[in-house]
Formats: sequence, C-alpha cells, structure tokens
Amino acid sequence: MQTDYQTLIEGSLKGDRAAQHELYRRLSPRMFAVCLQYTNTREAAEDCLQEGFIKVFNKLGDFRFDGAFEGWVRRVMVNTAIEYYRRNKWQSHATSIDQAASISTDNHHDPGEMNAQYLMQLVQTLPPQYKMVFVLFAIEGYSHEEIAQQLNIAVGTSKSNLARARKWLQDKLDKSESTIEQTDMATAQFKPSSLS
Amino acid sequence: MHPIDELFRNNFRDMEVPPAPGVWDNIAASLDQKPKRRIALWQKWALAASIALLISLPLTLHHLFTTHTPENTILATESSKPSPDATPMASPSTDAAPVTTSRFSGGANHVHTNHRSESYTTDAPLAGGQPSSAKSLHPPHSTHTATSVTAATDLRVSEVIKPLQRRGTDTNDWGICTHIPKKHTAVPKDLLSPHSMPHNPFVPTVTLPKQEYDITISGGASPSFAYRTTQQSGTDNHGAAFSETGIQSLSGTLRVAIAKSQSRWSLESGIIYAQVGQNLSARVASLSRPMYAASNNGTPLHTPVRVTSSLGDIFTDQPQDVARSPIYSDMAELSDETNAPIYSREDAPALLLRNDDASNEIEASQILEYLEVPIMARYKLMNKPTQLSLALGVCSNFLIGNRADITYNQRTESGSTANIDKISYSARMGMGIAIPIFKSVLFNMEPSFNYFITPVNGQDFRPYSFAVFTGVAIKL
Repeated sequence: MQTDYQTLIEGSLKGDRAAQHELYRRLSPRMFAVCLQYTNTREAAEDCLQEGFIKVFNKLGDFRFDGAFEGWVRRVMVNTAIEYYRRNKWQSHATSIDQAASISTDNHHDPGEMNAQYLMQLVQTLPPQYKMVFVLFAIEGYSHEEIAQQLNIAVGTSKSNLARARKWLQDKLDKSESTIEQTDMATAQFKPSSLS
Repeated sequence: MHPIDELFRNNFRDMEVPPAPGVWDNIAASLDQKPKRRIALWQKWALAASIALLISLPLTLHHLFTTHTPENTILATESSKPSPDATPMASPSTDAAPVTTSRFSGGANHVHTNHRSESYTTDAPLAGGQPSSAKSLHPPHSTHTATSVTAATDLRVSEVIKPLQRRGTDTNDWGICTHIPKKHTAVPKDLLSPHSMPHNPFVPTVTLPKQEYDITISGGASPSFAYRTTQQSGTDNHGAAFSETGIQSLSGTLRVAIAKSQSRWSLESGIIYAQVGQNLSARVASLSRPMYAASNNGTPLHTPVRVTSSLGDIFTDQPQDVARSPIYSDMAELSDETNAPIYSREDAPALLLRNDDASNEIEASQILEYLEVPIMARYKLMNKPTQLSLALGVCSNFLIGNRADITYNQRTESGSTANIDKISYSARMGMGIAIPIFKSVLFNMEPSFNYFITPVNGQDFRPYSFAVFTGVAIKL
C-alpha cells in the first residue's frame, strides 16, 4: 500500500492532477469522517476537509516516507480541524441532534453503520469544547497536556471537560437504549410474526 | 480504556464517509492557483535587495567622492603647446631646484617641471644628462592629454631626480636634460594651489575634474488620504448594512537621489512614513458582551470586543487583570454552569452586525503605520532651472504601528487589527516639480500615488494613498 502511495505522492509532487485526485479519492472518505468528528455541520466538515487536503498537497514534499502516509495525512487533518475550531470558536455553539450532520447514505443500512452514524451525531451535539477534548483524547490518543496546549486551555479544564463529555454521552446513550427497548417492545406487540 | 472512549474509538477509528463531489473541484481549483510559497520567496528576495541597496548606497556615494582618481593625484591637462623660444622659469619653491634645462637642446627641448612634480610620468629611463635623450623624448609639437601617475613611475622619477639634485647648488648647472613627459602628465594635488602654480605657459594648466554624479537629498511632508480597493459598503454575512471610508493622515519622506551629470535619469531611495487604513461605521443589534471574567477584587469586567471589517477583525485590548490566571480555571467552571464560555483575546465574541434597523451605532478606525523603503527611477521631463520629473518605483513597506479604536455608547476602546502582514509591497508614482530657491536649494512639490501590490491582510485588502509632498531638496 505504501508503495502505491509512493508512486502517487511522486506524481502529485510533479503536479500530476490524476495522481492527486487518486490520493484524494483513496483518503477522503476516512478523512471526512475525521473532520465530521471535530465540526458540527456537514458544510463545516467539508470546509475543513478541503483546507486539510490543500495543506496536504502543498506540504507533500515534507513527507519523508518514514511512517504511514495515511497517518501523516490524518495528523494534518486533525491539526487543520484544531485550527478551524480555534478560528471559529466564537461562532461555535452546541448543535441539537436534529441539526447534526447527516452522514447516512442511501446504500448503507447495516446495523453497524447505523450505530456509527448515531454515535457521530451524538459527538456532534456535544458542546464544542467538550467535543474537542473528547475526540482528541479518546479517538486520537492525545494527552491532557497536549490538548491543553493545542486548545489553549488549562490541563485541569481539559480533564474536567473530558469527564463531563463522557457523562454527557453516557446519559444520551442510556436514554437512547431505553427508547430502543421501548420501540422493540411496541414492534413485538404489533407485529408478533416478526418474532418468529 | 474508559468504556465510552472505547465504544467511540472502535466505531470512529476506521469510519469512512464519502464527502460531496464538489469538494475535490474546490481543492483542484485552489491547487491551480500560484502557490503562496513562491510569492513568499519573491518577497524575501525583494526585501534582501532593498536592504542591500540601502547598505550599499552610502558606500557607493562615498566611493564616488573619494576614489574616482588615484590617491593624492589629480588629472591635469596641458592646455598649451610649448613655444620654441620660451624661456625657462624657475619654480617659486625654494627647498629644491626646479629641473630646468635647455643647454643641450633647442627651444623645443625646454623642459618645465617642479621639484614636487616627481610624479611626472616617465615612460623611458632618463639618460643621466645626455641631451640625446631629451631630444628624443620631447618632440617639438607634442599633443597634450591627461593621464595619471602610478607609484612605480614616481619611484623611477625620484631615482633620476636625486642624482640631479646632488650635482650642485647652481641651478643653471644641471648639465642634464631631464626626461620630458611624452604626452601625458599629472601633478600632485597640492600643485593646484594658486600659491604653488607658476604662471608659465609651459606648465600644464590644471583643471578640476568635473563632478560626475549629482547627489540630491530631499525631505517633505504631506497630508494624505488613504483608501482601499475592496468592498466599500454593503451588507456583511449577517445581512446588516455597514460602510467603510478612507482615512486622512500625515506622511513624511526623506530621500536621496543620485544622477549622472547632465543625465535626465536618476535613482532614488530613502524612507517614507505613511499611514493607511479605514474608518468603519455600522449598526449593531446588541452591544452587550459577556462579563464572565472577573478582576482580582471580584468585579466582573468586560472581555475584549471584536468587530469584523474588510481589513480584518478589530480586537480591543484586554484589561490587564483579566489575563489568564488561576481565576480563569474557576471561571471556566462557572462558565460550564451558565453554559457560556470565557473568551480570551483570540476568542472574543464578535459584535455581529445583524440588523439593518438596529439602533446602536458603532464607529471604528483602523490605522496601519508603515515605514516604506522606495527604490525609484526618476526622469526629468523638463530640465530648465525649474524641473518637472516623473518618478516610478516600488516600496518595501514595514509595519511599525497597528492601531484601532472602537467608539460606541460615547465610549472609546483601543485595540488593534488582527492578521496584518509585517511586510508588504507597493508601487509608487509621483510627478515632481522642483523650483530653485538658492544656488543648491530647491523647493519641491510632488503629488504622489501609492498602491499596495500585495494585500496587507494576506487576503484582498490593498490600500492606496494619495499625497502631495512638499519640502526642500539640497544638491550636494
């Protein structure tokens, strides 16, 4: 895979638009998922993705092939998302679950996909600073010191925000589980044949 | 790992969501644009060139004034041919005898020199008093042009002069014929003194070299008007009306111009102080702003205000006692409860310009101060005593001041505009009129137009300014 990337990277560095497009095509779905975690609307995530990929192509010469290319792109994307958050923090506000970016596609209906989609919507409804701390800590594996430095907050604030984010998510998950159970029971009552 | 973290990590780590197709189109369009890095490189070169010119200009001027002729000598031109029947004339100097002889030759062989003129050019060794030597070296009708003297020839002449001086005290008994300069001669600089210059038609007439370059220093000041090329009024992203207008300020200049004598072209550099910026007036829906940060005595203080404009966001200065401190953590807890964040300078809330019918007016002014280093070429359209010239060039502009004031509710707060580049470049054009007042002093007036060729805020804000510099110029 890395060899494939190497060819595409070399082509991209020479300005080969087809190679650049192929790199984008391969990486953009995963990177878009990353951007969605840090933003609260699909449009904002697309802005972030666009900005991140422009950086990737402009700084491609800095990649030294001493690690996974996808990991390098992901770091660029996370840094872009942090910058985006810092730049737009004053505009940020918590999003209701109805407003959260819909990431479903018509072709995906499997339970695992739906579960991930729901979790994404939950994260997007977190208050912005909770969300940043939670995603950086839980998904990217940053330490509280790193998070505090990146977000320009105190380490204690990072820790308390993480705890609050976890509790907030846990509460929402508990509520949704009870809702699902009630829904299942109702379905069973009105459609007994489905149980057989 | 915390179970919640694990749940989300497992679901998100390899998640894929296809973005909208338009995203790639935007990326491709951005990649087609000229990379910023190349511009940055060009800017670095321009800066380096400006600095190099500034450093080298005084050195060049110094060099021109001190070393355009060999040290301690000055060019001399013989202005007359030696007359066949002219008589030798003794030098007024007394500490050595003039080398004057005609004993062995006719009038054409008369030689006139001075003991100090050991620097007379010799292009053949002297024959130690042999008349034939003089004859062959001094043709009756030599042409007269100028040349300079080298240390080597000085040495050779002095070697010859010394034995002559030892011959005796009788100045008429030299018994030799000295070497005659063939065509060119040079005399020591002190010979140019009127006291040491013999009135002898055979002595080369020394003329001062014409100054090759004219140096002019000029200074001036001007009221100026600055504006910019971006949107001047309209509605912002929130649909509210606002208007931006130019500013009036003062500019000053101190410049050095160098021109070849009689040339209409000259090259200028120096330093210009200039201000650019804008005034902003807008209506805002609400002027309230969070008061969550507390001073040390517990009194709530306002956080910084942020106002958007086309030049860039204005931030008011943060009160000193609201800087990040232990109290910040406590307030963060408070902010969680009140569901409102605490803002640092960077995160200050915008005074959003939301409604056209909003009743609150704010006024803001944004002023950027620059020191400009111009490199300009000037052409004299009219070169009579009154001069008319056209100047064109580029300036490297160094940001030295960034001030912004916001006035609302009869209260003014100061701050600055964010994200202004430290260095930018502009093109400058001027039409100068210079009228002589005294011999070397001219009255100067120059309407001048300056346009920023690089945006000052890294985006699209390119100010331009108009000034009429008035001052004096002094010819060195």
